[in-house]
Amino acid sequence: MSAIGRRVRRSDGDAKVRGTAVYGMDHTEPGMLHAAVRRAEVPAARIVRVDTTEAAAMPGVRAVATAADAPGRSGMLVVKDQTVFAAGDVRYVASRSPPSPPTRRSRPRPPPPRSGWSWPSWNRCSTWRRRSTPAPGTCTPTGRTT
Amino acid sequence: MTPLLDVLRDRLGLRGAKAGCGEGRCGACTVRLGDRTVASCLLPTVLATEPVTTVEGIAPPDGPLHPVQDALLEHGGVQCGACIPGMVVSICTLLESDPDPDEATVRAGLTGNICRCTGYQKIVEAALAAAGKDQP
Repeated sequence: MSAIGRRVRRSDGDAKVRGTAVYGMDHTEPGMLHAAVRRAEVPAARIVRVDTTEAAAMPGVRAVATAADAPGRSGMLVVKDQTVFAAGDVRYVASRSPPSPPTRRSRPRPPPPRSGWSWPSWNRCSTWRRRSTPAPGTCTPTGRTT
Repeated sequence: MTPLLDVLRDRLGLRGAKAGCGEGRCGACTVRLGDRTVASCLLPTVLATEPVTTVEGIAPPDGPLHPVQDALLEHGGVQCGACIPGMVVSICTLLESDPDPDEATVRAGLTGNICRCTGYQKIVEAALAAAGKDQP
């Protein structure tokens, strides 16, 4: 092949150095809607309730999507085991145990899980060891994310 | 206050500058303001009182590439390309203020532009080549 041993310019390079390459963020079309992500205000919490009424009532809002609208996992690439939206728990801080407040260790251990109890969907990887069970209501999000 | 980047991208349709981080750290939104570079995602439009040059203004749309753009392609400094508009503007501005930089100067001049693909080496080589310091 004639390309071996030679410098070959990438075929899309001209548009990229000119700034004319169209990335996903650059794409537009008539009537296009815009999405905004509402993130949790705390790094680790149990989602008790998501109140979308205020967001849905804002002028121009067409739809508000939550985990209920996107069940299952993303199935995509390296994030294939993640849910699209936070479901059940807010988990910004990666850990091998469920989210717990900083004072968790000083508290007595909670009773063993009742039958039928299961780990949150994101925590079913067999390589994660069970260390402690989450105590319901010990850490809840604040504001509208509750 | 509307950032200059929003005006460039959404009002003027100049989508070369990218909204990367939105907080002035990544450099993908770099444009030239007068004779210096600015993070247009942070700059209030009302403060853009000097001529603004974006990557689209570096080379004529149908004309030949600017030497910096040409060197980036020749030296393999472009991969995904999201940082490249900012890189082009930063390197061009750097070479105008210092036409004969050494490698350390180039690296210092690019500290405001993050690239996650190339590891910077090929971009630095391209900048030095554009300054006439082509290495064998």
